[in-house]
Amino acid sequence: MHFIDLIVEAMSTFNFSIAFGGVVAGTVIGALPGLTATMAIAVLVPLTFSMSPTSALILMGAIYTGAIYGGAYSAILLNTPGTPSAIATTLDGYPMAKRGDGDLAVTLACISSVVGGLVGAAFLLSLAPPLAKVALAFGPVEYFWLAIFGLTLISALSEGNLLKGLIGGCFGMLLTTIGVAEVSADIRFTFGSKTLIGGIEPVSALIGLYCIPVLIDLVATPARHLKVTSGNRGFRLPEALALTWRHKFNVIRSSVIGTVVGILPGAGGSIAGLVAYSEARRTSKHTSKFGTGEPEGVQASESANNATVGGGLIPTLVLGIPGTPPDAVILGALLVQGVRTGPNLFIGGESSIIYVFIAGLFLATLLMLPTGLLIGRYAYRFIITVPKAVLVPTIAFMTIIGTYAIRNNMSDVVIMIMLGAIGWLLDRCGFKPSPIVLGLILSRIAEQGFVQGWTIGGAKGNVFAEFFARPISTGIIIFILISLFYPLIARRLKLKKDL
Amino acid sequence: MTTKKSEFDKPGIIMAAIFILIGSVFLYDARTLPDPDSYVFPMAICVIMIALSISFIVWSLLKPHQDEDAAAKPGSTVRRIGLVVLMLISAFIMPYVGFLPAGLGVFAALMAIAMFKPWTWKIAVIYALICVAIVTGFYTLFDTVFHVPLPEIPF
Repeated sequence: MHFIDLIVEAMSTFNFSIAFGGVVAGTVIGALPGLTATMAIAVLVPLTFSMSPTSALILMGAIYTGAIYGGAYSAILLNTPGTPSAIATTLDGYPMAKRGDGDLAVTLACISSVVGGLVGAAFLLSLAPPLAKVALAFGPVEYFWLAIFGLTLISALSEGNLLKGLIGGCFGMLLTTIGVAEVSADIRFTFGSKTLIGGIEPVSALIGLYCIPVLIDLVATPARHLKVTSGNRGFRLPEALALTWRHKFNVIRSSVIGTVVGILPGAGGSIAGLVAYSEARRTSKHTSKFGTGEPEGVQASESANNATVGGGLIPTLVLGIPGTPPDAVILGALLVQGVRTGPNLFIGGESSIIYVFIAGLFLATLLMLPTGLLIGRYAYRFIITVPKAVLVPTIAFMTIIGTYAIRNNMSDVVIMIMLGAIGWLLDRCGFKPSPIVLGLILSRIAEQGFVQGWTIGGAKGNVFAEFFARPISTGIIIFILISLFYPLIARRLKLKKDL
Repeated sequence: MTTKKSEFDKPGIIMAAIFILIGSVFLYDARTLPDPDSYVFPMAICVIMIALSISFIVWSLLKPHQDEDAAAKPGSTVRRIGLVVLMLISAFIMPYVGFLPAGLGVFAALMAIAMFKPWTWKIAVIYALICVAIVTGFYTLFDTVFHVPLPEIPF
């Protein structure tokens, strides 16, 4: 079957409608703090059981794509990542919104998400089987170093206050160790509290650390939440397109990073966004502007996290190993549909299903542009015009219900509020929330990789070689060193040049 | 009359001392864990956090400086505390009185503390309707669409 025929099949009225509906539903769910892409797909999976496998896959792909993008709205407008994938988007998206460029940030996020989604889908279409082998080459030690690579972003986020950033990162990592241990399943650091046995759920913690401090300051003064500029500026599409063209290498590089990180099982959109952000910052001409509302930061994070959609589907479809948590739900739905994943899926009799699905993924990603721009515009207008007496309780209520919904546990809500208050206090003492959140998100992967690597190395009789002598590990360590010391080297070189 | 500001980053130093205390408590508790897989990683993190906090305190005392990022924020402290307390109360009472009544109560109370304009009858009625619409809307969405088992009204 020719690819054009597959596109025609993907664009049947029914498939087009469900792709459109899936993108809208995913975007709205992703925008609500606490509701992740995994939950969006899981909730809507039962709808797919009565559909053909192709339509079911298209609907799930559309929901997934929309949910990952939807997380950017609350990240930009409320400083609260709607999904963990949008953590890095808050770093520059919220400062942009605060200075009155929230509309531009939302449009930039939409365009970058579309580009990232298309790049990820293109990799899925063209290089799925060889790229799936990359995922198999990653062992526990490589995951450990990948998490450390993500943590090096702390140095970028804490310019002038590196020690405070590092202490915050350690505090975040320590918080994650509360509850059931990653590898041995011992209960640790609960100090007799039943509330702490379940541990600190990273998504509820990041809602608390990012959103509650904003609410605490919002309620204290009558000043507006975001700066409002006069006049109707529309979507600011030409400006956003010009910025995308100017930073095209950043967007493409971030999309490729997102695809590759997405391929690695368990890594996910949050790590992809952070690694891409770190690289964008390192290579930018405006390094010092990152964190203060630099459009390149939003572009890097959003293109990378949407590229993980296509990237994550590569090991899911080729190896039957889910690249990200939403892929695990998709895999389950595929099994219900009777589709057997594996390398033969791309060449066997069922290959047309997969190629129609990939064509549907392209379609859903493109549909994200009009729907994303429209929803983004109304979300922005709502946030800047709604009175504070309505905005504050609405956001507070969303954080409570969203956090509760993660594990149906009221303890998570209490922990979220307490962490938010602690986060506000820490912020006043100069300890920013981003390094703490980085520690929280990356600690589990780091601990699992560290302990497993340690055990394997111990069994082989050479722990050092296990951690430092594997080729991929060495490559990641080199990137870590570059990421850590590049700003220092660049500054020295500039000083020499000026002299 | 102006008061001379201290050059030390006092809030930062106090917080670093608290982090040393937290790290020490975790280190002490880690000794009770039987499996090395459970304590190797957190102990390493504790030691690093304590070392960094000590370095920060020493550095701050040797090179006194103010943290410009840690400037005081203007606004009402009562409203700030009120928001956190109200949210905590709602989380504690929800399992006992049900999600909907607790949600309506906390939403209305938060509306009151986030209001900076004088209340009129018209505003009160409109805001009450908004409160009911948003709370019941979210309740319906999560309860019937997402099938989240929200706490029920016990009577």
